[in-house]
Amino acid sequence: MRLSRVCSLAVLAAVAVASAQEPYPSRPITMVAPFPPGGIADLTARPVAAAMEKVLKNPVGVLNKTGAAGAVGMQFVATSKPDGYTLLLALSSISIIPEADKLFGRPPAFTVDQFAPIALISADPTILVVPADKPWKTAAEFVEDAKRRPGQISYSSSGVYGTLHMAMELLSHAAGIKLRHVPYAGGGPALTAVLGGHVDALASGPAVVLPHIKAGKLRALAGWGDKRVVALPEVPTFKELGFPDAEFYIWAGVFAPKGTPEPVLAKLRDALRAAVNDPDFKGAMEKIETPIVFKQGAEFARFFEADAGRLAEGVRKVGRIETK
Amino acid sequence: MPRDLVSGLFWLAVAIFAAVQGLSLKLGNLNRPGAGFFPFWGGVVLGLLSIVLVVSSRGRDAAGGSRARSESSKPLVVVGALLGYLLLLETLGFVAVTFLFLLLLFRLERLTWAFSVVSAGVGALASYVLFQLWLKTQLPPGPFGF
Amino acid sequence: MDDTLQNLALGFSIALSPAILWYAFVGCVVGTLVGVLPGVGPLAGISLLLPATFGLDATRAIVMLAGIYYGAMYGGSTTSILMRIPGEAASVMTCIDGYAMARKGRAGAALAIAAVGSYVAGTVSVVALMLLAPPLASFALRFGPPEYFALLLLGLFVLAYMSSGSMLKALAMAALGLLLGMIGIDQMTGYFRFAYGVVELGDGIGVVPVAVGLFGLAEILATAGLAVPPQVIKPTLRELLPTRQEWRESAAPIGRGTVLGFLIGIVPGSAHIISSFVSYAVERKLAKRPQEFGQGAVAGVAGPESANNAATSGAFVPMLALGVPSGPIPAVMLAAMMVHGVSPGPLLIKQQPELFWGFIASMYVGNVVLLILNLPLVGVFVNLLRVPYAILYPSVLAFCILGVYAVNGSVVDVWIMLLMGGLGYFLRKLDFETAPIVLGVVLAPMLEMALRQSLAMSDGQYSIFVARPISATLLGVGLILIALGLQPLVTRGLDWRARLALAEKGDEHP
Repeated sequence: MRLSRVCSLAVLAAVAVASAQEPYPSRPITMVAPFPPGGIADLTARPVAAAMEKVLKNPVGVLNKTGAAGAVGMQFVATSKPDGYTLLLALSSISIIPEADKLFGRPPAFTVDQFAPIALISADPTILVVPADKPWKTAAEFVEDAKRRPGQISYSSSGVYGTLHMAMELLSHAAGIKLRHVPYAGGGPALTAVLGGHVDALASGPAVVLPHIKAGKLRALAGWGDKRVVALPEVPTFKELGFPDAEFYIWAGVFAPKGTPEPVLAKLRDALRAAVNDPDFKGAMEKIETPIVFKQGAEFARFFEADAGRLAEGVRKVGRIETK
Repeated sequence: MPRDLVSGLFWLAVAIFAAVQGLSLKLGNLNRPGAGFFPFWGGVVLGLLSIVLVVSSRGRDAAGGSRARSESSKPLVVVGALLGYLLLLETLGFVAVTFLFLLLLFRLERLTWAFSVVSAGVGALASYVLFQLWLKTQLPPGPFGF
Repeated sequence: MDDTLQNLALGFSIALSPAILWYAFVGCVVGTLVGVLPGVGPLAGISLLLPATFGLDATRAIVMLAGIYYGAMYGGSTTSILMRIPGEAASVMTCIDGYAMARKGRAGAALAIAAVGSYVAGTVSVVALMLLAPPLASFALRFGPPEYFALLLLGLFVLAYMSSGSMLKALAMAALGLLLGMIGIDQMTGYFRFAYGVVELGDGIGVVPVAVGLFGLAEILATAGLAVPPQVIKPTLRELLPTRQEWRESAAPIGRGTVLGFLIGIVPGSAHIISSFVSYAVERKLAKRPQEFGQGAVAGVAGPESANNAATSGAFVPMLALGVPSGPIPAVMLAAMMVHGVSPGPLLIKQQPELFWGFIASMYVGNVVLLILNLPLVGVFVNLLRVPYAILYPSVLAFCILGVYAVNGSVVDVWIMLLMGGLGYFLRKLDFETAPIVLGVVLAPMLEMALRQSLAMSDGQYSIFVARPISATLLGVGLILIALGLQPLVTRGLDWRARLALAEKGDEHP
């Protein structure tokens, strides 16, 4: 009798402890977008956060932690408490930055295995755009001219070793050309630079440049995907043009710091699956013309690894940016 | 005390530090300035200016100390309170720390206990309403959930 | 022209519809409150409140965000004038003479002139935005890194007119600001500078924590250290309003500030910050009694305040006409448009006339709302100064800390503010001015980036700066300014005794 009394007390105590542990989520979640407002990461993070907010019935805020092609925001999340309240909406650059740190021989800002991948949200091939008043009508003309004048054709990027930089470097390598790189602090300024004609080219996600292509300010030459971009059916891929190594996607995926408890991760995976099927979210992604590509768990892990391998190779090929 | 001498020497140390750090980054050259270019030359400029400051301070030592100095130690206490605020902010939560901070300073200013407690409470509440309820910023919550 | 009028009529029919009017009003009120909070400026305010606009339709959302934006610009001057705490980088210059005016019992006048100046600047630049947006926008896009560099170099001349004390010390402080501005990850190569493994320093140190520390915190520390607490200023009703002479002295600075701010504002990038710096320098150069600057010259409030509000509207030019994210705040607003399915691009004005003209009209309305809102508030704010200092300063300190923390959610920013407060306190004692440090922190990173981007564009050729017409022109203007400014600069650089002698002769600024 007494024993059972003790038992029930113990059970009571255990219940009390469990209920003292807050159910997840019980306070606002921060989704870190490591790029400035108006860039691709930001434009994806905001609807994702909004849809998650609906599913979880809990505020999800987007925080733009910007700097050095996203390293600041990613490091911030990598070192955050793994409690599911700090998430990262990362672009492909998440696997570039540790590689670049290795290249400089400095302690890495973070490593890829500091993150637990949750789900892939979207994957969009970059496309090559040039100001409409530049002479090149096709990608072939562009590559040919770049071969004739090595290092003379310039392009803007969202930052050194950033996604937009890597896309161009993969192309340069695949086509055996040399271009001149002018880094900017984010995708917005990089777009402004190509619109103003201060650089000759930009690799960019289709969504951001589409209105400018439609308005006749920019011309799309080719895409980095294995298929053509739906919104631009007349623009070929580099694969079709005979540069199979020029394959690059700006993908957006959600990560948590490594060590986040599995139940929380599972809850987040479910929330994200529900979020990408949310009609508002679909509408939002349609509005920014970004195709939803949802992968989670092992599937996302495989995709992530393949992509990281390609990019690590790319970084090593670029090498260290030295000022001679 | 030749104040410009002391401050000049201090800036000189800062300048040397910056220039050395700049050198250890890549300087590059005038046509391709590297990561260390601006820090190095910024340090050099600050160094030169502080040398001028040190040299020119020698003639006016007398003028330096002429300022009246009726000082209390209050700024130190205030800085200490601010330090405490910062150190405790992420453990106690912002509402509690704001209350303690206000209470300490109000008492330092010799306001009555009753008045201090009430005012500090109002201040802490205002901070909660403004930053938490209204702006929904993510100030660190305390162990009590606020 | 007929078209414009017709469109404007369309715009007003939208802007004056009760729903839109309500959101414009809410935006203005919220913006003013955000602006008054120390350390929380327009960008932080907009970013924090953006999610609240997702439920609205595009026009309402944009109108409300714009209201928050310029509401915060209006509100930012309040704490600058009353307590020397800049709400954002653009009101740093207002701290100097605005606070000096408040110390002389002219806080009400300073606030009223800031509000009226902001109103005039806001309204005039909306007219300019409406009539000139498309041509100006294509002009603005021609500002690439070389033009930007030339513009910032021009901004540096401001330094010569910013300090009223020793030129040597001002230069040293600007150099210190430059070094502080170098902290963080080098955007051109990826190297870490002065970060020593502190993650948050990777992004550099923000202007707001530096300015709040150097100005506001240092001022509070110094005042708290006084043996006798400062006298409570009890303004009478008459003292709330600017005198006729103060109005006269502000009229021209408001006009100049408006033009200057609008022009600098349209340039893509973050250059609009320097509009208030440049305006201050111009006013000081043109003033009949430049020695009053720093001691409460009304032109030193009117000019910069108008300039920063005009720059606000200027920044909308490339955004609305071309869909270009021309700065951090327009970028957030573009994102808000995209979220609502409005694709911001060169075709926006044609495809979304209700949005564009409704927005333009709501800016007229918003400015009127802000003027009506702010003038009565002058009385309320000034009465804050009646609160005994013993109660006022601890509360202000707490809100400074919380505001600075809230913006990035980073305790590192608060540490920076605290360190800068201590530094500012000692610098005051040593007769160093702190404004040049802020100028250095603002200008140096932009200047460095623009220079290195230009050289990357040209493969290391400096000829790029003279080969491009706009940058060549700007540099030419700079050379003329040097030539004009050299003589007073030389005399100002003299030993203090010589300066004193000159000042006694009263011809320091020939």
